[in-house]
Amino acid sequence: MKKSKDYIIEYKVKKYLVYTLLIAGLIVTLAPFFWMISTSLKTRAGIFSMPPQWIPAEPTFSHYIRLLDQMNFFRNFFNSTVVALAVTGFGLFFNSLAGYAFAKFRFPGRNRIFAILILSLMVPGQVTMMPVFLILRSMGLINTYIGLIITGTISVFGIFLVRQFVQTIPNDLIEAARIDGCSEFGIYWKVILPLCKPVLATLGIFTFMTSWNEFLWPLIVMIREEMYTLPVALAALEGQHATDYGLVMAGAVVVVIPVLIVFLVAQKYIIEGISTTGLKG
Amino acid sequence: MADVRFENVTKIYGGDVIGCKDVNLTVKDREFCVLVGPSGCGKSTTLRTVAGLEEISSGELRIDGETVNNIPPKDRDIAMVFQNYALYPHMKVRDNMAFGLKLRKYPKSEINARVDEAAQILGIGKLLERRPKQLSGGQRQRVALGRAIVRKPKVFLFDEPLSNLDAKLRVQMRVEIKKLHSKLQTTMIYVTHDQVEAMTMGDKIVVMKDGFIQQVDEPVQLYNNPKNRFVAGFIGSPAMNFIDVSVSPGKDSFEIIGDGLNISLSKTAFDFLGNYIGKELTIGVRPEDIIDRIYAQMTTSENVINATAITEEPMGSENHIHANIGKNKVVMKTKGTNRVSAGDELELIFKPEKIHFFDKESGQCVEQ
Repeated sequence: MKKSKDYIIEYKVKKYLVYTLLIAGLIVTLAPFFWMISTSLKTRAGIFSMPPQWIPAEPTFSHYIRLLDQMNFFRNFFNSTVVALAVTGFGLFFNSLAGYAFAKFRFPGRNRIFAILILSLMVPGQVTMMPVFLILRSMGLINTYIGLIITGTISVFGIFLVRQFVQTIPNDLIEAARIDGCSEFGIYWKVILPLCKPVLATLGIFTFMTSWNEFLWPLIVMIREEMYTLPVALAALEGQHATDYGLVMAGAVVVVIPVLIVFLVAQKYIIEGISTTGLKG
Repeated sequence: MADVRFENVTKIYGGDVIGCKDVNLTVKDREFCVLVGPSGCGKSTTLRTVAGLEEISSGELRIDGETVNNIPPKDRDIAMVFQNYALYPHMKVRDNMAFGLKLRKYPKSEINARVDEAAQILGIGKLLERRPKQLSGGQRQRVALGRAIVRKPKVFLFDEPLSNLDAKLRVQMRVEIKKLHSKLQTTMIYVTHDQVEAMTMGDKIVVMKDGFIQQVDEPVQLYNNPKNRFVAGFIGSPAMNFIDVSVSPGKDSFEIIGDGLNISLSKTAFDFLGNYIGKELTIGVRPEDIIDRIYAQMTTSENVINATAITEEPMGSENHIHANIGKNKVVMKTKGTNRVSAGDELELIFKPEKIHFFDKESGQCVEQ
């Protein structure tokens, strides 16, 4: 039999091993971000110096100032914000409504329609880009916020997520509300939605981040420069022959910050959502 | 204050699954009516048609004289208490109870007054600011009752409200719901699978099976005069004993002959048996209507049935003895001091006036 001291040593060794691995992972993950921030603060000479500088030798904010100069930064930022917020807001509303219907209403072809929706997840987005673009153009929605927003709003993944969650809500609750005098929309709004908070927080964060970071689709839909979202505008900074890395990195930092803030604020809901999903009160 | 009338109410699911069929029933004003039966018997379906949660396939349903077939639940002026309480988890107790009133746009003062009154009746005044998660099962059930009370509906509907509570609490809540009924004087329809609940609570009991009503009667009537074998076996615990027999004529008696038993019954008292000579019947005897002759120190040797004890279930005040009569298994209820061991030879007597006779095939009672 081992002595208790041996157990303690074994436990400690394991603990150090785990932490070492975790720290290594953390470094690998954070290094690019750190490099991004570091480069955005370097002088031009510093960016290309050999050996590479991890910490800028002469920190400068000149790239950030030039960013405001060379691109219509506030306009692009505004575009991104409008689109991301609208897509998130409308997306939460419509996807939860659809998810609720698929979870709790019996209508002919319900399962078949849902299966078709799920199948559509298998179709790569690039396949549908051209047709959707043509449809948008025929509707005169190219170069408009609406064009970007309506194509981003409905997400099969979101419907699926909400449906799975709503299925765990007992039917009695819905029936109780019906007897209590709720309209059908009232049941959704006053009973289902509040109970869906965790899943909506998760979905909201994903939707916001996806919309905020989306590059290819806004690039296609938004043709005029003042309608560019941030990632598109940022990409436009890259020259054909030479890239101003300091400028691009400064832009990247600015793009990442809102996502970081949203994530920090909402992350506790995600974690809460995952941990309370299966629990019944 | 309202009566509820079912006229040939039928609910068919998906074309061929029977929920309930040809339900004809009148629940009188202020009556406590219990629907009871095994799971899948259609009792919940019947209740849900009253609530409007199930559409009726055919027939007519009236509440207070008004046909409600096509009236949505919220306009039927009913309140329902669910088995799993169905409290809104995101609302405080007070808001849970007030929800229905708020939706009906009652003035705030009226809502508060009603909630406080109901809370006082149910003894949950201190819980009003809590959330359902922070309550015990019994407290949640009270809140669910409160949510129904504040609405002051014409009809209360209960769907197995006590099934999720532990045995002790169930007995307590049983009494409370009954008290509530006599206090509120409202029509109540109560669904349960527990025949004890049905017997103790109902003014009127409706026994259902496979979607059909088997019998509607007062509790004691139901117990003493079951109309068929199903009702006889369902009501009462331990259940009634059934033994297949045939009837043959004796000199001035009918001989009831089954495996391991031979009972003579006088022709005058059991004249109806004359119609069943040579036919197969099933007799039913309740456990408390079987006498242990030796323990009871009866001297009569008439109609004594020999049995072998299998096991006993002592309850303290009473003892349930399981025994074999030939191949037939019976249970008898006797005093707690009457103890047996497996293999003991018993001499049993069925109280003749307490024997029920059922047609073996149809299961219908044949006494009348």
